Amino acid sequence: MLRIKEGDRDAFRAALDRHLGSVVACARRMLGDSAAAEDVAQETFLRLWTNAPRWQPTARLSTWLHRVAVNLCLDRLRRTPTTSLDDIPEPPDPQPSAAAQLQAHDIGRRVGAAVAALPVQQRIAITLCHYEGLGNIEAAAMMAISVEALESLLARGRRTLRARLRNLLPELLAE
Amino acid sequence: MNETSPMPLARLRALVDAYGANPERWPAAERAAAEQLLRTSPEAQRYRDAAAGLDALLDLACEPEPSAALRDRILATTASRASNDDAPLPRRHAPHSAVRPATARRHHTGARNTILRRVVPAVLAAAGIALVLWSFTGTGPSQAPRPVTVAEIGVYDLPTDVLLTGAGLDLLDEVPAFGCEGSGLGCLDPAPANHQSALTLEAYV
Repeated sequence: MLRIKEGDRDAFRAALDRHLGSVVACARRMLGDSAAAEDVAQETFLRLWTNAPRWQPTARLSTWLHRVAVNLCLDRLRRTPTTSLDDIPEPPDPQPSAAAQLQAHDIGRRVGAAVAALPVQQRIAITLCHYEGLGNIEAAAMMAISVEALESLLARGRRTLRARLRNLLPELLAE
Repeated sequence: MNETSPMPLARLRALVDAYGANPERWPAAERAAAEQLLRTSPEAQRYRDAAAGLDALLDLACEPEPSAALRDRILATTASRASNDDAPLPRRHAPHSAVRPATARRHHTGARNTILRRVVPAVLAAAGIALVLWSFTGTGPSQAPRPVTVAEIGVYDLPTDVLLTGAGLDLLDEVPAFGCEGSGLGCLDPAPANHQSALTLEAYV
């Protein structure tokens, strides 16, 4: 980071190669849209470059990047009308016989699609708490809701995911 | 709820339903009570294990790799920012000519005429005052010069440098270009290697 702070392009390129994938993944989970996620990732790294001279080493670079990306996603979501639950497409529902033959990557892709298909608030809550590792107080503050409301969103989101993914790996999701 | 209070089974179920099976994701204030309940309640363990299955599945989630075009776009965008005002600041102790913004260099030549209009009358006035004082006090040029108090606030190469400083000018950066082509004329080197601009240093403090 010190090298980026001094304008070192090679250091910036290395940071980009290392963190771009996770930043895009974070934004995509938040937004449920690949093109918008790439826009957010671009803005995040642009901010890294332009703000580097004022960088204070209070957090790891990856943490800082993800926080910026999350905030950009929240700003973007606030500017767009909330998607109706009825408008959200159901994720592909694999046949039980086919599920056993799925490779890990396919499973991961389907799980990602199921998360992306959650209602917006539930998706954000699960992204912040499960994937970004934020505590409940911090996540609730970022979403401008109470901790109780956050817990409710998390529980509903996980319940929805469980129902949708039960056919995928029944042995993992036994009641 | 404090750590010594036993946690009701319903609360533990609500916790794992919301945060999953990993205690690190549970609210810190309730973690100890929840773990205490888990040690003694098979039903609590069953709730936790069910949540662990969903956690494991969520951890398998993968997202498509970002496109190569995105990486190229970011590099191109940030490269274009490297030459404007948002670019990282230059090093503080870089050579003076290197830290001058391009726009400032463009104005440099145009400013020389203005500087001359300020400096020449000031120099002439100072010379006149010095001549009058010299005549009044009878101090001859053969005597050792007295230390000048104002010279102690900065480092000057020539006696008239102090006049430039008084006008808010940079001694090293704003020296007139013409009239100094020849050697031995008493002009400053426009970019001397062994000098630093006092004004520039002040600006960075």
